[in-house]
Amino acid sequence: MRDPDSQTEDVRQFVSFIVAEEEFGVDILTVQEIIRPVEITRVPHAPDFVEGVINLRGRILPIIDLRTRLGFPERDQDEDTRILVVELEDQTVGFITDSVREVLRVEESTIEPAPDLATNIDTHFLRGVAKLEERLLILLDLDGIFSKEEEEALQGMEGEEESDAPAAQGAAA
Amino acid sequence: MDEQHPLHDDGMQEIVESFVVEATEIYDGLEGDLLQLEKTPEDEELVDSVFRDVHTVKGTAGFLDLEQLSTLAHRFEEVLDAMRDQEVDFVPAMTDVMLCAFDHMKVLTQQVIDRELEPLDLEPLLDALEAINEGTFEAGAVSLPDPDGGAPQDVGGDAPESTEEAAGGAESGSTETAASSDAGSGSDASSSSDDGGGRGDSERKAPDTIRVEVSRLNELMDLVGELVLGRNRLLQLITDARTEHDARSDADESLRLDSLLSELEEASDKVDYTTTDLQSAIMQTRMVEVGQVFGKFPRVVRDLAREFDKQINLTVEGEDTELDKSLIEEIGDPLLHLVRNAADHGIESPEERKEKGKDPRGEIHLSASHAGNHIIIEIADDGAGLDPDVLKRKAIEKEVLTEDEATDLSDAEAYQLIFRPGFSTTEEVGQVSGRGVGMDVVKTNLAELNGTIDIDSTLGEGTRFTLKLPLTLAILQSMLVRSGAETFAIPLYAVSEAVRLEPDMIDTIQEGEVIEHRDRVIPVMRLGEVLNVQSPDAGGQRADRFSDKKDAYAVVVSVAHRRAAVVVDELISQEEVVIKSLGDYLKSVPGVAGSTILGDGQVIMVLDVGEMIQHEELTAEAEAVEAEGSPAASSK
Repeated sequence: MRDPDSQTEDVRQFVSFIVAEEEFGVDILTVQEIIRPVEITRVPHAPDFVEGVINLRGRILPIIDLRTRLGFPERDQDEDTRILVVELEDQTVGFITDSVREVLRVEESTIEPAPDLATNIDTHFLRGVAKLEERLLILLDLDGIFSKEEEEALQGMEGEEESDAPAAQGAAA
Repeated sequence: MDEQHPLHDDGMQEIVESFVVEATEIYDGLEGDLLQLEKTPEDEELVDSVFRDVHTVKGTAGFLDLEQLSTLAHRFEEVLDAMRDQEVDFVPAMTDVMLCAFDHMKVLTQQVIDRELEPLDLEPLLDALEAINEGTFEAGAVSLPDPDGGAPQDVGGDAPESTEEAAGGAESGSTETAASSDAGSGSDASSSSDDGGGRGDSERKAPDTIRVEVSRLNELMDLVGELVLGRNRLLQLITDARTEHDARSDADESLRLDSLLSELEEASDKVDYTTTDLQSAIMQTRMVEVGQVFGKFPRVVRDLAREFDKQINLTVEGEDTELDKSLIEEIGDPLLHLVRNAADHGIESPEERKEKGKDPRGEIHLSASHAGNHIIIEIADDGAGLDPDVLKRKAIEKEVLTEDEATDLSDAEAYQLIFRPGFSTTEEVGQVSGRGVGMDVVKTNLAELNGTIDIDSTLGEGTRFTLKLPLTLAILQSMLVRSGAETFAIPLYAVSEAVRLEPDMIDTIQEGEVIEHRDRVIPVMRLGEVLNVQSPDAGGQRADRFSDKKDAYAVVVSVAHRRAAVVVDELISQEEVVIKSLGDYLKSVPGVAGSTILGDGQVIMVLDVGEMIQHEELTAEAEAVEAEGSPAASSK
């Protein structure tokens, strides 16, 4: 581990979490809180990657399943499942993760831009990859969580209906 | 303007802001006063009031170095001063000059708001004002500039062709054609604009009011919404505790607990009442008088009357009826459409009216009133009325309807045709080729406000549009229903009734299911299917619960002219819910108006029935082609 007291400007802190055995990180400044799964209310006709909404102390938050969103197979929730409540540019959104691990300090210099073909993840919200001592941390920029296609899907929902599955997954693959 | 101008001085911003607010308030009342002045130029008090208003604007404008505005206001003020001293022989055409001055003041003030000063060509206007002041004013001798930079208008000319679209039109020379220039007419309207002016005045001087930003009130609304939810939860928990307690009969323990519970119930009752009072008190702070919107119509009608060369008298009633600020902002445009429509298509030309034996002066009546939790706004005219046969014929021509369909339409249904997109009604009355008055837009706007619009018309006698709107957008009376494992809220305004479904009530007509109810054939919408109530996290309970028709209910909904029987599994209760937005990402989800949090913390969807029906209609065709005769979940 690096010296935890290093306060140089180019050290960033990330919350790391697991989705489908891969480790991801988001900027700690965007994370509002981490909660255990609560009852999710489905929103009819919403795109596939929107799991539904929850009541967080009187606020309505949309919940997005990162597994679905990142193109991994779905899985039932378990003991370790956590919802990462993140403040995006224009609203607060909850992301379902398999588990949340720790807070990591990452030097800016160890962050490399996302390789185009390295992962099966849509590059829209890839911020880069950080090389840790023994592993790679995929840094997400969740503001890009809705790509153009999805925003179109969100706008264009009027047209389609029963077929809400393929659109989102096609875009994520 | 250069950067040294006080408008761009940081230290002056507060003064600029308060000037803008004050001026805007003044203009609201001023226009009505000017129109009134046209009818009663000898009313000294009125002249005084107008003078004070203009003087106030002049003062601050001078202080802020707004040269054009202060010059204009100064010249205007001189005219009013001369009128006050009865040095002016008033002719109605002078009103045009004053209204023109008023329009220019507004434009100049708007420039201040935009922080972009652009000199206007005021010379002709200033000259006209000067002419009035010096007694050399002649109707027709001056042409006034259009504040928006359009072509100059002639004042007081006698050619009827000069009726232009722009504000402050022409043709004031002949009192017969001008709607509001006849002093004997429109006593209601006159008194209303009097009220308007008076009220504006006293508001400005009243020491016991403060100005509050709307966003702060919204915040209070949100907070009290939370409080209501908290209260509901509290009440529910206490009820649960009471039930639990009553179920056990452990004598000794019970006595103490029982008295504790009673006290708790008492205390929570108090909280309950206070919360309800607080909620209505806060809603009250957001209430504004509908007169704010009505206030601009006397001028609109005056201008329209000139434009269409008609005589129209506007009467206004119930302008002190209050409704939520957010609604006030939204109803302005729909109302304007309807008033234009009445003036354009409703009221006939004076000649035509005379032929029909009517008063050549047409009447538009605008009224507002409360009915329970709703406000009713009516726009009635005594014009030509709607002809169902003409409407049907047009609908067939435009291929909106087939001939068979048209024959089946009742008159009331035929009236509703004017709300169809692209259905122009210009031919129906004939003489004025319409600017496309988008009645379909009116309807859509109202639907967005959870409002409805009805038409009542008698051929030859007139048309009445009745708008019904909720008092507020934030709180909605709803019916809670269950479909499958999910609960939904259906806004009560859309619900006509709820009926228990017997297995043989549903018929199938051309692939579609319908029920016959009260002599109407109503299409069936199975909520479970429409909303895909079978989400994976419902744990495999899936759709089988609602295919069991035994216990199903149909909620008959009607929004505008659309009807549907929404089939649900259970009717739960009627409740007042606080609507919460789903946020930007989900706001365009079809058929969902928003969400709400129930007393037990559960989130449920509030349905937008109109949109849901529309969405179904759109997808129905596609599905019919695709799924030739295999109706998905309705199989038993």
